[in-house]
Amino acid sequence: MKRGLLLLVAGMLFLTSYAQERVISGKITSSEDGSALPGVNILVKGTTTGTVTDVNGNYTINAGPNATLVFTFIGFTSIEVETGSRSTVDVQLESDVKQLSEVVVVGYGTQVKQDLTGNIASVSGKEIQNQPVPSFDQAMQGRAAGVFVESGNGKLGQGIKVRVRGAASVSASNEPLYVVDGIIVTTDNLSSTDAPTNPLANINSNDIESIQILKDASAAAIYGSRAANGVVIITTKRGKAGKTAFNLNYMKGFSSPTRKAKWLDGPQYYDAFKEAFDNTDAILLRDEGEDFGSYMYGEPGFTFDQVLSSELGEWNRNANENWADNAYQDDAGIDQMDLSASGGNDKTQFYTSLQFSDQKGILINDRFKKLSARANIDHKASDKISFGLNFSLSRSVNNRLSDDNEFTTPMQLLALPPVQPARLEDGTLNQNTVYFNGLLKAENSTFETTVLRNVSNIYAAWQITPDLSFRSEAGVDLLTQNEDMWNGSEVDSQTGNVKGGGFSAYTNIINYSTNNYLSYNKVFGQHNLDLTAGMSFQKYEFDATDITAQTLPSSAFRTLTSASVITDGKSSATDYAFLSYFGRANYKFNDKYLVSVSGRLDGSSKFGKNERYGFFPAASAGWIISQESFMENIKSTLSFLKLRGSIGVTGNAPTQNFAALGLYAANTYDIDPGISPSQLSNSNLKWETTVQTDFGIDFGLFNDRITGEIDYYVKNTTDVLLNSNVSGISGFLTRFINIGEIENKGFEFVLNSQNIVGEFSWSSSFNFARNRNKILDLNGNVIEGGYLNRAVEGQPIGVFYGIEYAGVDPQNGDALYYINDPENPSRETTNDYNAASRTIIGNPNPDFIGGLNNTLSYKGFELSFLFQFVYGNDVFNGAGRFQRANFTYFDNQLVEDWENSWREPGDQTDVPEARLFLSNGDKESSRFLQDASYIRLKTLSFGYNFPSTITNRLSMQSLRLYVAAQNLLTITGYDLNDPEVNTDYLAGNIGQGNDFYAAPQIKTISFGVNIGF
Amino acid sequence: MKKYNYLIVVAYLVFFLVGCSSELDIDPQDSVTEEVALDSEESIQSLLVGAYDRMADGDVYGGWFQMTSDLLGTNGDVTWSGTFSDPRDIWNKTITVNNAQTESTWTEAYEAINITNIILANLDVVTDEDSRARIEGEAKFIRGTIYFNLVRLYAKDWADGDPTANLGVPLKLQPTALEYNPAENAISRSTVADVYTQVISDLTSAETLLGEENGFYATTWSAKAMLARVYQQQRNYAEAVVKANDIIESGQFALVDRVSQAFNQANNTSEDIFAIQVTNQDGENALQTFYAATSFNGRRDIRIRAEYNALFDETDERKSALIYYDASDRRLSGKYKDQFANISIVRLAELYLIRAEANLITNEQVGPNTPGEDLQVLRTRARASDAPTEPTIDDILLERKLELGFEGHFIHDIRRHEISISQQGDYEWNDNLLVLPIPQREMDANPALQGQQNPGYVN
Repeated sequence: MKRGLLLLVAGMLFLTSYAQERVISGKITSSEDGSALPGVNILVKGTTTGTVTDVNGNYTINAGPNATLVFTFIGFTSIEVETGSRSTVDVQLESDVKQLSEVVVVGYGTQVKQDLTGNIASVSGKEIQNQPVPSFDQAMQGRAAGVFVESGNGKLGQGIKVRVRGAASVSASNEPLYVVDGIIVTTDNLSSTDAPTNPLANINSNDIESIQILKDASAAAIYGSRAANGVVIITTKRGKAGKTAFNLNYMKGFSSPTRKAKWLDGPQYYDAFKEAFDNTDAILLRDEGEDFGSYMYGEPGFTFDQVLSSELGEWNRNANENWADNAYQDDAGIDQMDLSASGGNDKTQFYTSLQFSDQKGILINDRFKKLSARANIDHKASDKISFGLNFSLSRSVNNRLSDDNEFTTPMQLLALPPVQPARLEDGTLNQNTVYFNGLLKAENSTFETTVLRNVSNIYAAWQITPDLSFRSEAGVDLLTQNEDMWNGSEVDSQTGNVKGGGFSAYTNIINYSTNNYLSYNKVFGQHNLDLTAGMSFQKYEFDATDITAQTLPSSAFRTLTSASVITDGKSSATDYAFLSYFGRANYKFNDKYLVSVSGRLDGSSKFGKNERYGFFPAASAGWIISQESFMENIKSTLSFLKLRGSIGVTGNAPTQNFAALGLYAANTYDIDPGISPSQLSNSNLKWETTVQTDFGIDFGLFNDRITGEIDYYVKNTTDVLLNSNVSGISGFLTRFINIGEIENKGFEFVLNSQNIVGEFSWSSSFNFARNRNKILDLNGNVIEGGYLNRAVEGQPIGVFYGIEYAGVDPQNGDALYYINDPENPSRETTNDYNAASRTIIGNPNPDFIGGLNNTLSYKGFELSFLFQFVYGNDVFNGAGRFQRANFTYFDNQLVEDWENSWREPGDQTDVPEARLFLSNGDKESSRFLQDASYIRLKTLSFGYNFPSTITNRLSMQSLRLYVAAQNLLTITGYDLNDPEVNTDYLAGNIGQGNDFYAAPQIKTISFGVNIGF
Repeated sequence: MKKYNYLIVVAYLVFFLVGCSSELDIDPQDSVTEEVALDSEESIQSLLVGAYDRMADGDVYGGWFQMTSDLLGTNGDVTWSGTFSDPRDIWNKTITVNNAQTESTWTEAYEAINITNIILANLDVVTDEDSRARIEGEAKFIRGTIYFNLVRLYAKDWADGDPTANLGVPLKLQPTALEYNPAENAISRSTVADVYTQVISDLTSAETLLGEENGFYATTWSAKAMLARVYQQQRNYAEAVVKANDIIESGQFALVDRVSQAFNQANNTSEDIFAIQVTNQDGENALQTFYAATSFNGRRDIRIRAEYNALFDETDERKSALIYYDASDRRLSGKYKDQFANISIVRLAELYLIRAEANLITNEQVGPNTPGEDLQVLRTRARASDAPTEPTIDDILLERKLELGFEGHFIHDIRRHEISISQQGDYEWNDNLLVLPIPQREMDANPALQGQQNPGYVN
């Protein structure tokens, strides 16, 4: 491969000296008033060569002879001009509200949206800029139809779940493939804990020009064996010829939790607890003839206060600690500064940016700092040769927290009884709480994850003939991560350390790739042919070392060089490679009939030796009916109408690099080295195969003031990668196989409307998607995850399977469950949990999702707000058995549960009688399952652009002040914290819709100023 | 010129196509394939170490073999006061077929068994005869010991009905091929008697093959001691007493001076006949995790009840030195304080008790001591009051409780002597709920287990 890279560089130099193109220049004006239009995009059709008009509307571009130039500008009709032999091409653009003419980035090329036969959702960079979230994927939420984005909780830098048209995999990834400026980037979770982190957080959202999400097979199949979950193509900003434009942005935000549940305070807790104790005592006396003390400890005569002292340790009758609020920090918020400069001349354009952001999460110690820089440079060496560089470097420092299931995570503080003070009278932290006092962790430990990342690529493009061009790209994604944890001796009981200790892990990933492809674009009369063919190679090299050590001299010594005992140290390495060949042909006849075929041959080291290469073809067709003569009459109303359909095959490669091999791994006994078998083999292991069909209608009404898309799709996945259960007596638990079938089908609806145009303008954008997921066949396997989630035939992935709660017996306060005997179906109930059978009780997958965005502007004022909604999904509170357990243990309880609990015969309630240490309704059941539908005011921003009269006086190009709010309002019936939740330590393909001391989402109100000069 | 241009591009592409295809052959670096793993004598020895490592897993002999026995068999001895619901269900006898703890113990145990099967199938790689005998003996010791524990926990007691009809556990005696064959691994449960036969065969073979010294690894004494336990549980006291007596009279082992010195030791003591090794580098002492106070980094989930505490004399060091109270006055066992201490599996003290029990029941005297004298040895060491000269079986059982408490004997003593439990409900010695369920995942993944769930468990 090294030879390959060398040759690439040599080749570029070589090509540079041979090529020739001619220069075309001109001026773009508006047809309405003849004014110059700066910022118009000009693209040499069929290539990626493009430029932008300068402030005077002038442009210069290198193009081959007979090239067709495509002029596009927001708010104007785009136009294609055949240049012939002209060297000056002046163009007048017609004002238009049409949105169908935008240029869309597709795999290995671009296309005009109008000509698309596949389904691609676009999110512009403008929509996601300056949002107070660490990663752009979070900012996409609610903006693209059929793209489900979920943050598991309000911790910063965590993994984000993205599902494009549902989940099709049980044991491989369901996340889309991410491509930045043509290069497949590293998105693996590199966290050493069970809570995933998000490598995408290192990409500066404000550098993004556009995001395209390839959803159907005809759009995605060119990415082959990794495209089944959709492909997200990120294009970063590029320079525009003209005067250098500087932009400075500063933003300061203030954050708080979106929603907080209410817990018992000190006096309430004491009373509630006493009530639970008395209830138990009465039951024991009645049923067993013994009191509480003899039942629990074999010692009769325990008073209530003695029980508290014996079990709780340091407590205080008068204490009234608000433990839940101790989880939050007061100075949560964000500071962000952006500085960018872009410009250039007709030969060379550049875009450079620098961003510094410092976000403090709502939870104590949660923080994400990022410094990132970018330089994108494009240069035309001649008419025929151009090359450029995209360079980005970023460094992030994330102060992380413990996983949701650890006592040391701030949210678990709420479990502690309010009668135990957080601090003793001398001001020191209470070390004798019933569960570990997580504030000890907050004050005596650090967990920093530093990521240094360089995502860069160089390219060279050669216009070999006017119709034929060749492009070569070489990219590298270097990622170095250091996770550094220190725990003081105060945390020993949680870490198992003796006198403090720590952990340090270095991970280094080199992910390099190259794309080399030819593009041919030719118009023969009414025939328009666009061909692409090439190859791609990617190699991913991972290595990591880590060390765990303990016993430090004092809390002043925090690096492991000071630790006296190394308890674990290791290094590991793994690689994978993909070698691919791809091609695509687009054919357009008479601007009405569109046909496209594409294919990719993918080979990978991840596949079993019998299945090294897979082929992924796709075909699609479109018919622009509105171009037909018979539509002329209604064109004033129905200005655009296109039917399109596609079918294609995409794949999903295993996440593991060596899932196909039978392996032995090393282990240790005492200090002797041992080995043991670690994995069963499967030489036939291969990718999952998804066949997707899509039918769509694109339409435009009233001269395209209203545009829309309607899509219906069926995604059928076979050869599902399954880490299937094997008989445990084999000495193994699972084996990777390809088996079964999963279906996702649904429809998507997008509507964009310019409601009012003119000085006061109002535009709306609405998207709605419904996806139905169903596992058709898993060969009888049942794969479990989360608390109650499972993948099972006949059901959507991750359904909740458990005991169905039937409320409370009004006579005695016992929790009741439906027996649900599968042999003997009835609605009979029982108070014996073990006598009830499990059944399907809920579904974590939403029925539908969507968003509604509105933008209003008047003179310099601009108001925009996005409502985002998720409907029909259930969330199971795994902590219900502790926090809604009616004092099965000491955990603090929800106020509403105590108020509503059963007290005397005849009480009609859903909350069973509280019984200290006895089990009454605390076991996992549908009692803790809730509908978690919500609608959220996701973003609200209001800005004012000062008029030029003022900015000129200030020597500025532009000045904008704005206030923005994130997650300002959430409407939901979910009664714990925030309904958008999935506890980090269980999150996965099957572990969905679980709450377990998960932090609520973050509400942020920020103020900013943006200055152009 | 133009043609030449095309040629450059084509040559360029071809170069990538050819140059990269070999890049797809990538081998793992952190683990190795089977052919490489099993090619030498050294690797068979490494597998043996691997088998010990799996046997030492927290879910197996690193703690849960023992804790499962004691939580099931507590009779006024311990209270589970932790938050984990799987152990709590074991303690409450409300185990479900999905109990994660009983599932892990099962699957981890069979993982160790599979390694011993691989070793035994590849013994011919070992050329040195002494090494081969030792490796075979150790592998059989591990396999026999684990099957003995499985059959005691997941099946009815030997004497509960007909052991040749009662179902034991599946006997997997061949290595699992890495290219998995479902049929090879669909094995139904053998009878209790068949499992015991296999256990005795493995341990007897180990007793013969193993030498007297083998570091902290299994020796002929380890095999003998385990056999003494097996025979004892079968009520075959005549055989049990011979094995126990052999060890006691061999002079190879000696009780430590003070009983507290038998625990929390980094190295095997003079009374350890077999112990699981735990270091700060490797191993897991799950007993320590669940018994020790927070100040020792434990979870102090298992508390000693007042009734148990009241069984001791005031002078008894097994109380004064091995029972302590944490900051919240929880009464805890001092046998598991140090998280990096070894876990004693068989101590010499137990063999005195086996000999006493066997001699009392058979009314014979193998060895120099009467049952009373054997008890006295332990009571003297514990600085407790004198043992009765003519002890009853209850005296011996009490002494077992005092001496061997929390070492995994409660349920087995209850079964062997058909004692009723009256804690967390009332249970006869052979109550269905005192037998663990076959894990549901196994019922699902192994079709040969169809219809073989233990009585008392549905779903």
